[in-house]
Amino acid sequence: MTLLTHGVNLWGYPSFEGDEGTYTSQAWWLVRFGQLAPYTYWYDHPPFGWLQIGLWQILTGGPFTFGFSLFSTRILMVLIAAATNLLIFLLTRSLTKSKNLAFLASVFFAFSPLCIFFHRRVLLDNLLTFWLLLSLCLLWSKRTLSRFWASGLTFGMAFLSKETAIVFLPVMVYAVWKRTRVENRKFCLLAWLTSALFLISLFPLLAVLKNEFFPAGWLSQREHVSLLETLVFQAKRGTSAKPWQEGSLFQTALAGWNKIDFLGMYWGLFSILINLFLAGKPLSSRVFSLLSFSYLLFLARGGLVLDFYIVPLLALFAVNLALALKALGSACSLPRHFTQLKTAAPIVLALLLISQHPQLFREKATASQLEAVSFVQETLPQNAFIAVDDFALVDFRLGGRFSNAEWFSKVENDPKIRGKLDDNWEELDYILLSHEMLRNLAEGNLPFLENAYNHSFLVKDFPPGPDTSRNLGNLESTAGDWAALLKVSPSLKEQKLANTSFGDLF
Amino acid sequence: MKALSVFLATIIAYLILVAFLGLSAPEAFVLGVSLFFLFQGIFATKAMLYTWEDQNRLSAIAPPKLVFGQPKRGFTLIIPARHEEIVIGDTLKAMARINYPPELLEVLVIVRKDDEKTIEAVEKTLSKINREQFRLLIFNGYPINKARSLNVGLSHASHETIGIFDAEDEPDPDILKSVDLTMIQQKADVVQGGVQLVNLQSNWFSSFNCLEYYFWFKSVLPFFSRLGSTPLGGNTTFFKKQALVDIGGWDEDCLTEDGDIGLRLSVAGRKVAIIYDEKMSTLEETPPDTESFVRQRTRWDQGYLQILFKGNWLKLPTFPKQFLALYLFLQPAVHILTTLNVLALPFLAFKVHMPTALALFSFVPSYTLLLQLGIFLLGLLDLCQKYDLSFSWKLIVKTLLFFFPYQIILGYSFFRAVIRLATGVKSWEKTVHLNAHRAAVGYAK
Repeated sequence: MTLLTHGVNLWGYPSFEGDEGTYTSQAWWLVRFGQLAPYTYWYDHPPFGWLQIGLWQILTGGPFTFGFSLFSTRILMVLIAAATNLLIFLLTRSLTKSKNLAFLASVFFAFSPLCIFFHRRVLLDNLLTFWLLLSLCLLWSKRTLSRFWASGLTFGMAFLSKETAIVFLPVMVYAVWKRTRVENRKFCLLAWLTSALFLISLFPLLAVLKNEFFPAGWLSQREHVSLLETLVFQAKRGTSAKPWQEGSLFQTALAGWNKIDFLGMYWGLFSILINLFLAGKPLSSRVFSLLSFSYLLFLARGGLVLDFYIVPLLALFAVNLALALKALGSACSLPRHFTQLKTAAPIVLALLLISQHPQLFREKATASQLEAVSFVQETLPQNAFIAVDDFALVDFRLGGRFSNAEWFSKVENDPKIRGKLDDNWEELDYILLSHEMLRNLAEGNLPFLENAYNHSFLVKDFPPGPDTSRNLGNLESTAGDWAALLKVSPSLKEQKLANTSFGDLF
Repeated sequence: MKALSVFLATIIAYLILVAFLGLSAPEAFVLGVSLFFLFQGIFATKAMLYTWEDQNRLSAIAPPKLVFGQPKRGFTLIIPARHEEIVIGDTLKAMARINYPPELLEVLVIVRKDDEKTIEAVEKTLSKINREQFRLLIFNGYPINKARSLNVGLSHASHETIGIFDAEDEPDPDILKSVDLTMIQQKADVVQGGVQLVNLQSNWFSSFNCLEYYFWFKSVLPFFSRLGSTPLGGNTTFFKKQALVDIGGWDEDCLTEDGDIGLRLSVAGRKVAIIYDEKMSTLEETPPDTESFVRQRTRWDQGYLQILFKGNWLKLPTFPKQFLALYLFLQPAVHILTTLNVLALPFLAFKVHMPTALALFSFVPSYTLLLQLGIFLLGLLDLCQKYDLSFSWKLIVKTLLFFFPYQIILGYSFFRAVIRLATGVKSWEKTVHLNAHRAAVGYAK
């Protein structure tokens, strides 16, 4: 079921995002060249997440087996989503002892537009969610010591896929404590903690082994990236606005989520509240609502909230929904037509959810982006210096053999890449503009590139779909389904973009 | 020779792996060692935590509930004693307190003729106890070891079941009834009861020694017995007399006669049942000081090596059983290797350039050792709870601090054993007993 909903138009929508390319390229670089990333690895995430992606790439014979590099990895994501959905079904069934409720939870997970939207993208959070669900599933199976070992290991894998899993750790430990029987409680707890912490500690251990744990200057004078520095950096990202304030990223993200799938968000959050306050006795209700709550706290901490952060929460929404319905069902007396309701409910749910966002199946949001990539590969010289968004890095570097195509973020910040350009923006030949690049320019994050941008003109535009509005002159864009190829020309006295004859686009 | 072929297959698989990964010699060494300790760690942990897997296993080792009605089985308890004048009196009084029909309980204390002090202590106590079937047996001749004494007792035993106790043991009064029921219910020829050291605080190594016994009798022994290859303990062991006679009694050349007899009984296909209940364990004490600990451990290690070279373990019916026996008898060697490697491997990882993945993997032995430590600490907590001993922060600190030194003296004992074996020294280094265990659980003297 999941395969169908997620698979149709998999490659069309949603638009490719930069990070997808980051993970895909890192995965391939890891398994093919033995490096942790195409650029200097800076401990943004534990590398074991894209290691899993890389294994898939090997299994399928390379990144280009299905055409464009991201096609292949998106297929993996769909498979993972299907597997996760299976776990949701099994878990919910053992929690509620009801196949119907479990099926309902699965339907939610398969049909919610938010789920489909993010499960298609190549995100580490999808892997995290899979391992987390597996860990929870094991926790609610037979209470033998071996299962606790396994549960701890899979939780460790969740962390190794993406470090945000750490948010779930306190509640998981509570769940382990409660799920163990008194006789072997001590050892089960030890087993779970040891296996989880063993895997978790591999990440800092990696940094220590490479002498990249402490910032440069603490232990040695050599310039290098540092795990601690990255942690601090990640923690500080985002605006300082509190979540209930207007300009905060939390609000923006929330608005974005609601636009895609209001019903899903509403039902999910509501069932968490029910489980938190009304469900009372069952351990499962407490655990799952608390798990979701801890993650919500994390989201609401006032820092960076990228839109795909919602992913782990979506799986928990599904489970919470089933648990809340069970609690409600046992609290109120069941009407006589209940059995008919049981069969109808999933279908109704599916239709309701899916109707919110039919573009998932029809719109080809990636069309412009794909067109841009093939245009570049066909027309531009191979040694041209192009600042690109990461989603197409693998295709440019390996497929098209553009050895000087670099991710714009690295062009801006990586000393090695700057060195290639002799630190002079005039050396840049082209910019393949994308939504994310534009956003960063607007925020003032890219001073180096801004120079190049202001002295460039439009070569070819790959316009967005009807729902997106965009104004290159004012650095505005509402969605990512477009691309624009610009040529950098230092001799231009002023930015020519606003004055070109493609004025009707602005 | 199935064992040999499996061994060769493992080596070949390892070499193929090394070639496939294209590793240099030092890298291959690191990989091999890390793999070895990964498996050894997993296996050791599995054995140590076997009983705690689930409820079924915990109840499987519990002794049968005592039923009404009179038992019909006769027991002869053999107690070899040498220079045990301090403790033998209390032990005999403990034997007299056992709840069992007096006509079915015989106790034989075996003492060598030249041991006048012990003979005196025994005769004094026996006259006070005044039980017809409690007798002192005096023998002479060589060799001077436990196996010889046991065989002497065996030849004079009048009942159909033999039980072994040490001179300092404090058995539980209901132990014989439990053993009787176990033999009936599980159709066992041999029953091994629990033995526990309880003087945690006596000296720096005592907590480790006690923990070793705890995990050994509660979990490792049931694990081995489930797989059909059971080493036996030196006391609280009960045999059907016929089973012993059939395999020719104890081996008087061997320093660990208990491990040896267990192995030969397994080869002969006899069924061994393990029972463990904290309340019913026989209480013992650790050796009083480091020197005597090393002597005792050396004796055990040397005995294990003797059994290994005797080759009886190869006669076990299936490969897993042979492997288990081999693993058991080589256990002491693992301790030294562990010590060396925990120090060496991280050092190598940092200083020598090797692929990152391999460097990460080389930390596995350190992790398994940490796991061991964690298990030990929890076992300590469990032990104190179950045996009503006092648990304090000082104990935890002591355990953490001395974990490594303990591994070192274990390794040293093994080294000593190898030397003695190589030079042909086979004398029995006697352990001194001071009744520390009775003091630990607050017995009035």
